[in-house]
Amino acid sequence: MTTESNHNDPRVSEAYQGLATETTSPELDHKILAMAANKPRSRYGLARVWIRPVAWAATIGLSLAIVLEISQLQHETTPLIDADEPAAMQRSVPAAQQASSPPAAAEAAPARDVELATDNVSVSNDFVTEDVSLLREAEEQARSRSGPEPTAAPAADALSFQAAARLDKKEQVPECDPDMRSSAETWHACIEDLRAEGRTAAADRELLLLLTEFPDFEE
Amino acid sequence: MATSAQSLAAPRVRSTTALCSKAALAYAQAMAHTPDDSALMLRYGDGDVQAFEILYGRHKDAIYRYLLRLSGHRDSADDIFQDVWGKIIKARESYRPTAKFSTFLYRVAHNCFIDYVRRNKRHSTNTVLEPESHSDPGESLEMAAERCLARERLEIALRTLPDEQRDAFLLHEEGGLSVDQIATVTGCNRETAKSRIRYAVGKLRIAIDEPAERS
Repeated sequence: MTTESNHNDPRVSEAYQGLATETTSPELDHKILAMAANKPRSRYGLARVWIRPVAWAATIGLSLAIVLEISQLQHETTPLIDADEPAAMQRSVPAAQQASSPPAAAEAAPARDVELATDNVSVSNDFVTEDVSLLREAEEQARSRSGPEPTAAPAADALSFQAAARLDKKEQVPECDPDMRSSAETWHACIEDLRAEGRTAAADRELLLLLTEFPDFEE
Repeated sequence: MATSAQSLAAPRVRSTTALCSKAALAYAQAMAHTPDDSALMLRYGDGDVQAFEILYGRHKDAIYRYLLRLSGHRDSADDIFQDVWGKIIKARESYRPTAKFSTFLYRVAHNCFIDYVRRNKRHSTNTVLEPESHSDPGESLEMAAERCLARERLEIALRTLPDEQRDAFLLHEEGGLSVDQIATVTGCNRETAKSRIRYAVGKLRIAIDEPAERS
């Protein structure tokens, strides 16, 4: 006798099938079917109707937003990297200056001016080199607009004046004009005015230029 | 006249034949595409109550007998039966056809019975079930008496089986479950399930053959 026939005896099955004739009562059937028909949908069941489309829509919406954000970021960063377009650079530099912290820029500017004035520019950073070339371009443009410069002034002084003018141009706020800078006293008075106005960074720059031009001046 | 009558009758015959063939085709298609239990349960999960009615009609009697033989009480069987179908109805939202529906159904029934026994300590399988007498009109009195006695012996043998063996045997006979499915439902390994059925069948066979051996 095989194992299969051990748990599949047709005689036993037949005898059992003859015995097992009980069925459910109609009342019980009715009760179960009524229960099945009246069973309200659960909260999850109701939610299931709309939860999938909403989940898909949210996923797609978020993905699109992220992609758009990344593409916009790329658009914003590419002009700064592109060094071949001076116009784009001129446009981007004020924005970059606005973005950077003003006190840091104000502190860095005099130092750069001094370096320009003394012709000992030693920059290791490419970005700074580009900045310097840009400043020189701006100086040339200012020179062409303002006409011939006084020939008597030494080259270093002229350069320092131009640097100051460039800085003025950058900030779009006039500081001490050349008339004020004609003598140490008037220049110093202008600086004091700037301090009184609260423009200490500009005042410091002017003072640095004053001391460069008039090394013997004492406050 | 005759020809005209024939010509009139001919299309009628043809149309009747066409109708019959269409009906047969529809019936054949319906039979070929009889939805399986899992599909019915999924349809019920989507709100199709008729699908549940078909499903219930397929399994109600077998489940009822399974519970009746396990519990030995009609009232207990009724209670557990309602509990089982209540759980099936409740599970319609979360039902996933990972296994055969009958395996799922009998597992629920098995667990409901165990829960019922735990809840009702007074439960005992010693209660005698009144066997239903279905005597055929053409059957002689002797044959009817012999059949009745055989049923009674089988009934007694079934009741005296250990719970696990009776459970395995009923799952096999009523649910038509395979050894693997019985192992899944009862939470034992395949060999244990197989040996339980083997022992149960052996004991029932002896019970059936008892009068023949005596004679």
